[in-house]
Amino acid sequence: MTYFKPFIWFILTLSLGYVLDQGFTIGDQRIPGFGKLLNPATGLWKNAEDASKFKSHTFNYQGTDGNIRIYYDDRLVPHIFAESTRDALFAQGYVEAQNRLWQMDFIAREAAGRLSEVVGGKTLRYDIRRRKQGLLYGAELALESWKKDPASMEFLNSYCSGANAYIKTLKSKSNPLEFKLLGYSPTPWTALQSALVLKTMTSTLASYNEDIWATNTLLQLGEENFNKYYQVHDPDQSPVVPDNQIYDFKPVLNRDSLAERSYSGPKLEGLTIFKGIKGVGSNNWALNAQKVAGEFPILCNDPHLDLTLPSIWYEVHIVTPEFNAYGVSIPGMPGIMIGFNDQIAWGNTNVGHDMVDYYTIDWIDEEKRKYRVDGQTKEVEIRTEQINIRGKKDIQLDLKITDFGIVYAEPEKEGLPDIARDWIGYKDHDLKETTVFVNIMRSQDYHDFKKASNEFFTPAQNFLFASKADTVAIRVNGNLPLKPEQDGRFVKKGDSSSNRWQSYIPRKHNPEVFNPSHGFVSSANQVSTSEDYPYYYHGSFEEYRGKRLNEALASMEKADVRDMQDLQLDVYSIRADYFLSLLLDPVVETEFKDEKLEKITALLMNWDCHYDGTSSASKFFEKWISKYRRAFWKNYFKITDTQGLILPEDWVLIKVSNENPDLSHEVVLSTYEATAEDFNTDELETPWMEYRPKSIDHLLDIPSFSYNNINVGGCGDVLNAISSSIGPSWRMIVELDEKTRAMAVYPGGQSGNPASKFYDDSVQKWINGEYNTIDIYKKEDELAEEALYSIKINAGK
Amino acid sequence: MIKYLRVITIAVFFHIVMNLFMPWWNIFIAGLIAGYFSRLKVLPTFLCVFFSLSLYWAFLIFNINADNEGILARRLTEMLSMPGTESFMLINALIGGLCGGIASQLGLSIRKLVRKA
Repeated sequence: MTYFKPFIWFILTLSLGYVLDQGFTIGDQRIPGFGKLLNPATGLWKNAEDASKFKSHTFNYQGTDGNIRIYYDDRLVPHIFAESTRDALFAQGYVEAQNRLWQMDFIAREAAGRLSEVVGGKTLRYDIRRRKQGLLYGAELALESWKKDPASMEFLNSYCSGANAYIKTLKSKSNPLEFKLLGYSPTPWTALQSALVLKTMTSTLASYNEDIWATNTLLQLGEENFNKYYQVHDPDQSPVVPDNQIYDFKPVLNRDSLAERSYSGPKLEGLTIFKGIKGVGSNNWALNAQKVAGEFPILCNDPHLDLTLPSIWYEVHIVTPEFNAYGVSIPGMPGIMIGFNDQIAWGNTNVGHDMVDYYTIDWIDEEKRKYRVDGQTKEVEIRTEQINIRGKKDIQLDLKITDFGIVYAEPEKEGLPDIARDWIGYKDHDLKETTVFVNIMRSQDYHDFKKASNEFFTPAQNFLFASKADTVAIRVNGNLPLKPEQDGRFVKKGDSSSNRWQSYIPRKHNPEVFNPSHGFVSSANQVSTSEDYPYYYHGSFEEYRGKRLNEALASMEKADVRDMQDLQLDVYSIRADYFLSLLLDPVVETEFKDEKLEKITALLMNWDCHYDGTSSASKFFEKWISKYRRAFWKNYFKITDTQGLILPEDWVLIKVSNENPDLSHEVVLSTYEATAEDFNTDELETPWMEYRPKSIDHLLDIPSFSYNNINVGGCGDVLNAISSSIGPSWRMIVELDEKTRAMAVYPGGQSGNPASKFYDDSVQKWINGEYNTIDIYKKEDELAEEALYSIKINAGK
Repeated sequence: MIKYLRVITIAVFFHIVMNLFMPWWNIFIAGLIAGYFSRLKVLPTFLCVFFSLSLYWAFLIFNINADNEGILARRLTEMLSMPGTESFMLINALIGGLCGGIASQLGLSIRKLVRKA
């Protein structure tokens, strides 16, 4: 009995301690250890940032070229003063780790397919898909090729050293909040993780494809219909490179050089394929002095990317004896991606060229290790990847790498072929990718800028440029696969080496506009060129935004900042206007004798095709048009279902509807009534913003870490392109006057810490359409005086 | 009175010191030491350690929360579906007290064992 009581208390204490420390798992759900999290001296409370007191500090570091000073301003934007570019990047790594470390880790981890390592079994399927998509494989290849050029690795190494100088200061109680919540600790930042961040961008921006669906459509509708209704170029398009451009070079590949290459078996149904994300796009434009009230160029950019917290962007100001640059970076990558310095400004939008192709694999053996190419036997390269799963046994995943990419789908259904996926993200190259956004921020003129951006491999971007020398230019930059006509639109046969990508369009032939006579350049994810461009390409393009933008810019005279803001916030839809002029007449002419239908008609007739948050007609229109689109093509092609097929572009729909007024009339009325049935009478007045994304979500989808109730308008095909969870993630306007002026805003905050007031402090400004004013000419002592706090890094001896 | 103060002081003092260099579970050790040196009976020992450590945690939490302008408390309260930030912070503090309190009983029973031996 003597030992009984102590024993019981011992067991009780130990069990309580264990559960509160380690947490427990129910199914796949991990409940964290609350004791660990809730001790105010070591747990989450340690992350609660004091809203008014900040502490400056100084430390020595051996390995920098000189002393570095960092001043955080009242929005927590770091102003970095360094003696060399290397030191500036060291500081950039330091501040990004300080403010966004968990986000950096999470993004690289998600890309690498390593979520299960910290989350457990519930993300395993996701991780396997990510591995098969080859982001980790691509990142490793990229790193190998970067290492071939030690000079270009120097920038990245400085960045990593800076990040690690901060990570070294962390103790378990000072780890960022999400690390504590998920119960793991930060590890040193590596160049491979930076490569993974770049691969995530490539995956987001250069993965969208319709190959499987286009193949099925071709098989169902036949070649004649496909060629007629699925053209790449809208005759009414307004491309990035204006129609009057002359291409006076001889292409290295004749676009008509095509043999029969496509898959022609049964329809490819029930396959698990990565379709990629549609709708990520952006606007950018620059006006030269002749278009502007103030007689100096203006450059604007608003990239439409995932709206998340922490935000995808991080604002930073870098001053060295060589340059004075400001803009946004993607945490994890050195340099400024979109920004300006005191001579030039630059920005990017995505180029929609198809960068993914699918191939059927002709296996020879049952183990699927040997396949046939050009009549010869080839063996796959097996790449074994280990996936660690928290709380469970690790698994090994064998990726089969063929000449046609990684085997992605192995359907069980009899008669369907296995499919390999080839992607630009894991192609070999010898470009100095890591230097691009570093050398751009150092550039003083177009020559420097073009040289720097020429090293960009992928995801291809419309690189926009403007300078104080009154130069405006835009160039499609990145590697564009060289393809004959229609190549890569459909699933190809993986039995002939000639079906692979042979090469890329020579960079000097990439589309480019330089100082056009009409005084402006612009891009908004539309096609890059007219059909006169000597190379074939296809992809995912958005024509209406580009058209709206070019029309607005062409008509603009003496433009000022207010006009630029109005354009970035513009919610007028050309597409809606085209459709309404086509669809509304039959509706108006019909007497419905139904109060609800009359009300809807009145709403639509009074609608100005603006997707304002308060507009109530737009929700009805959107639903109606999607019903009309499906019903019209079903009737027109005489098919029972459009499931699994791609439908022609909307400009084709408008054209064919016009040519077939009777069919259109009939479908208009039937879909109009069907749409009306989807709404109750009291829903008719509900504003559009109720149908828009209502929150900007935390990366872990924790509602209380998200910004809820963002009442905004917008739509994917208007310039203020807010749709689903994607939207203008950084609105920037730069006036290249004698002293550069700029204003910008992003829907987030500089701190990645949900317990900081700087976590989401700019979101409301963004919702209101307001901007932060940026001044890059403040003297160092002035910044020091105004700073919330400063960090001084002394070059150690 | 002095007996009570002795337990309270030991518990809080050791917890404060160990918090500087030890993980969160040092609160068990603080409770254990306080229990071991307690001259009180079972229930008073438990209550002394429980309330003193709860109060200490509450003091820290409410202080941090005031400086933080309530940002973290608001997010955690919502995340854990608690009724309000104050009640969340209070329960948070009581968890600390409970850990110390339970450990104090272990300390007390060890002491009894040692004395008998």
